[in-house]
Amino acid sequence: MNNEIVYGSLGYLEQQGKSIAESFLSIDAIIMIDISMSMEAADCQNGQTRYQTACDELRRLQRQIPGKVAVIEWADGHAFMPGGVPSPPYGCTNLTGVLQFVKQADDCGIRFVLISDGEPDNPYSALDEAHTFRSKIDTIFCGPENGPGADFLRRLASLTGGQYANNTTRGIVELAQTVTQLLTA
Amino acid sequence: MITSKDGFYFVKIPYNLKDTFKACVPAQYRGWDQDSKSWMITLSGIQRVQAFLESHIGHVEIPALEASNAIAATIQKTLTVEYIGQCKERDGIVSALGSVRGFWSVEFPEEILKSWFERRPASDNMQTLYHVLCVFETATPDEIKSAHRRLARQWHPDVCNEPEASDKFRQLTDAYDVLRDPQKRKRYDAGLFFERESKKVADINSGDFRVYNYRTGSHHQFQPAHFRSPLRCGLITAEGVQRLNRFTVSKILAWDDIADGAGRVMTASWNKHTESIEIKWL
Repeated sequence: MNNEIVYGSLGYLEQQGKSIAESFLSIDAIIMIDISMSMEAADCQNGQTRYQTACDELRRLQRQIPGKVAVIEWADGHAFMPGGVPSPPYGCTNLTGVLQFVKQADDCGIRFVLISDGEPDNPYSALDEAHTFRSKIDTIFCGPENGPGADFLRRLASLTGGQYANNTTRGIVELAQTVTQLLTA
Repeated sequence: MITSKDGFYFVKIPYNLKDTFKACVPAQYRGWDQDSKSWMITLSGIQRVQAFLESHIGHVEIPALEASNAIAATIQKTLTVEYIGQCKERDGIVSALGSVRGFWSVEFPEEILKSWFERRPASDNMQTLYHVLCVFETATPDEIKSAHRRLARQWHPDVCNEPEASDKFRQLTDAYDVLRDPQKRKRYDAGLFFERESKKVADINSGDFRVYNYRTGSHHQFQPAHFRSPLRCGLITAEGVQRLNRFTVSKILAWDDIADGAGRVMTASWNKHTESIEIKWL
């Protein structure tokens, strides 16, 4: 469990006196960030892991647009992270589970942004679940160039009318910018 | 000075000793009997009364207690309660007193009031917009509208002279603005879901079931102030026990507005700086 509370996160706003539930009234997106073991790969700039880079980008994003995103981590399990940064990587990629979890916020004007570096354990079940969403799910691939998962994320995005962005591992450093672009598109 | 009837003692106390008497004999042992203008005292309270009388007046004989045929059974009553005060600890029990025709003759234990108004499991300590409007999270739009209307009437700053009226009214308006709008309500409900989930995770990880406070980054046990009924008056149907001229409520069955023949609804407020309850008909 990561207890860090970054500036601009919903946990930060809670410290300022605004409840998480009230903050949901003004968020633009729910970001589902993959924290499976593959995010430990140290193939980003300056020898950083994908996870470290993603955390830095999430901090930057929430500083830029405070109170506008809710962060949800997922691997084997899933959890809402009010502090704005996910826990260290563990386990595999149960995308179906997190989609069922965030379905609570479907169809109320909130966008979903799915960030992953690979293919889930059960892609067909995840696509079936995504198909039930009324809101769009944007996807960002942040795995290695030509790595598995890019096609899957592209397919999931198009299934829900969302957009697909390809950041690749080098591009994780621009994750905040990509998310901002997706939200303003 | 002391007589007995129907299982109670009746004691007349000089007016100038009234406050000292109340301090010596806790409320659970006494009740004011308007008809005889004397204090009704239970068997278990008579020794305190005797001690009080002997120290302030002199020796008194305690008569044998006349047996009562009455059984303190649970009964149902509909009461026109003109004002309900703050819950306070009274001899180990936290309760609020309600005034009926000028007498504080109804006692509402705090948990009874809370369960009626807060409409949530005791384990859930989160304050939500639903609690502000005193409705269930499953409330229909009509229930939300009528709850807001009723509370807004109570707390409108032009009507209510209690110091927190403006704040309460603003909270009511803010809550209603969200819950009346289906899209906003859906978002808010989603937020509640995730908020509860995050607190659950924090608790499981820390191995205890206190509440994790993201504001302070620490766990704490909730110790809220005593509950205050958000409605100050009402036509209340309740079950309870009549004892010592006081009806102690064990279950609230209905809470309706007090209306007059012209269809106007009563509101009541009490500013600490004024002598009495202010009643308005709207």
